[in-house]
Amino acid sequence: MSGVIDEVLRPADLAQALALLAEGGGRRRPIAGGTDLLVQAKEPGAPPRGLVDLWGLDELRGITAEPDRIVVGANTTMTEVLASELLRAEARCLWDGCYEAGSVQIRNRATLGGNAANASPAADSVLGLIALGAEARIASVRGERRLPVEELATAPRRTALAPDELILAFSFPRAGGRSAFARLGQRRAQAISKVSCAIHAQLDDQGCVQAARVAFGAVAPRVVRSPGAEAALRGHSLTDPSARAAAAVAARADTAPIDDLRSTRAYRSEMVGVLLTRLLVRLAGEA
Amino acid sequence: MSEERLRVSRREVLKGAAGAAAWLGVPAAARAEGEERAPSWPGIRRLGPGPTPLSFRLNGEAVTIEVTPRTTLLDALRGPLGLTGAKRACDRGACGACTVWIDGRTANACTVLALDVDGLAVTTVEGLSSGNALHPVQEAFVAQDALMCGFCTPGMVMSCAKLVERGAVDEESLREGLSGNLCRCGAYPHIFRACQEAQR
Ligand SMILES: Cc1cc2nc3c(=O)[nH]c(=O)nc-3n(C[C@H](O)[C@H](O)[C@H](O)COP(=O)(O)OP(=O)(O)OC[C@H]3O[C@@H](n4cnc5c(N)ncnc54)[C@H](O)[C@@H]3O)c2cc1C
Ligand code: FES
Ligand code: FES
Repeated sequence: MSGVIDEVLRPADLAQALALLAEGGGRRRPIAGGTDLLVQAKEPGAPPRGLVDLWGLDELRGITAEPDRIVVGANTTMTEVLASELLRAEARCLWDGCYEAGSVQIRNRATLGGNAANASPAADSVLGLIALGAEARIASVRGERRLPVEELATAPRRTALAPDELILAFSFPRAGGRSAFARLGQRRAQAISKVSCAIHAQLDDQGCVQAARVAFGAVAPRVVRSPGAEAALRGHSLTDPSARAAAAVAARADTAPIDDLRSTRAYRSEMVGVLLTRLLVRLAGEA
Repeated sequence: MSEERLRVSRREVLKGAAGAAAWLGVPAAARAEGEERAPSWPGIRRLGPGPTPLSFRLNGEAVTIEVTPRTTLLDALRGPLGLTGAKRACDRGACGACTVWIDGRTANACTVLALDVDGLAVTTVEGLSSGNALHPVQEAFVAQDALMCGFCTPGMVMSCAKLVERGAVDEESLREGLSGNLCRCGAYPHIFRACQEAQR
């Protein structure tokens, strides 16, 4: 039994969903796949809530290729991401993050919107979105706004979303370039990441990095970028050993891991450098 | 709630600027102040707080029961519906003992609200066999001795049947595809062999 859910509201479309949230005055929460919410609802002391069920809202689902952007609806499940050749080809860091997450059963229900709004510092699909430079399209009855995905989470389980706001979709530029994701956990499947990393790099004709975006998970209160690593890579070849080393050092300086039940600060800090180096090797096509 | 605002289509909202303008055009006074009342516009279904009727297809047959909003699909199956094939072990999505199919896709019944399957098709291990004829995966589990205590078996069979359906029975696909189904007895080698036998 999930003891704290006292009503479920099933809107027929997005407009109704937004109206129901506005009417709830902060007492209502959206639910998509429920893989986070129903686990949390079983925790003792969780407050009573009404749920606004987004699962049936197809307008939040789907992957669309525009000429210069890709738009992924918030209800898109990780399974649907994995089924997309477009995302595998053009958003590999997002695709890989979904591939590594959960299990088949979890991925069949886990949505990208839920992963981001749950605001776990280890949310696997969020790293890829940040590396791709994605923005979240957010709506409420008050209007629509856009926010870079890296600004969505503010702390563990806290977001910049108002209680009446929904994430509609994520959108990112079709910039080309190469991207990758890797994570370390207790075991391959079903384990929350101890450390994770995603990178997207734009290369020039000589194979030098024009621009890079590097994101880390589980080493700060939210998924974070490493501006230091990004700067260290700029202008250098992916195969340049001193640039790789400098990026690894900068990444460790930009992250602030803690000791917790899953891992230690020392191990995480070491692995920040190791994961980034592995991804650089992978992007350079050396592995 | 003004009728007009509710007529703004989802597409307009998704399109951004135009949709946002339409929303912003609503006078502030027309916006609800967090009052609690039954929605009066058509389309919204309000379920709970008391027992609420739920209708779906269960193993091919239409069923209707009453559940409270907080009831999970696993609670409903094992309780009022009397189907105890799906097992409860972790009750938090981590072990796969409660695996069922919802519209043909595997899901952990312990982390799905019962009300969420309203109008959908649910298959449990009880629906896999037809009469006394076992599903080929079940036959193969028996032939390959793919269980010890058997507690993981109903959920395991539901996941295996999907992998066999997709032809994903090589070692790597089975490892990946069954990673959400834990077998404490460690019967994996036999389970893998059963899947490969069922494929043939
Ligand atoms: C066993 C298990 C293993 C897991 N493994 C992983 C893993 O490896 N990696 C990983 O990253 N996660 C993992 N998760 C966590 C979870 O599956 C993901 O975070 C998932 O993406 C959540 O999506 P959902 O649709 O199920 O969210 P829900 O539970 O429905 O919602 C989560 C939160 O997001 C809010 N929300 C949902 N949709 C929206 C929206 N459109 N707009 C605004 N708010 C919204 C809800 O109100 C809630 O606060 C695991 C969970 C379990 C139970
Ligand atoms: S009981 Fe549902 S996954 Fe463990
Ligand atoms: S046979 Fe005992 S748990 Fe799998």
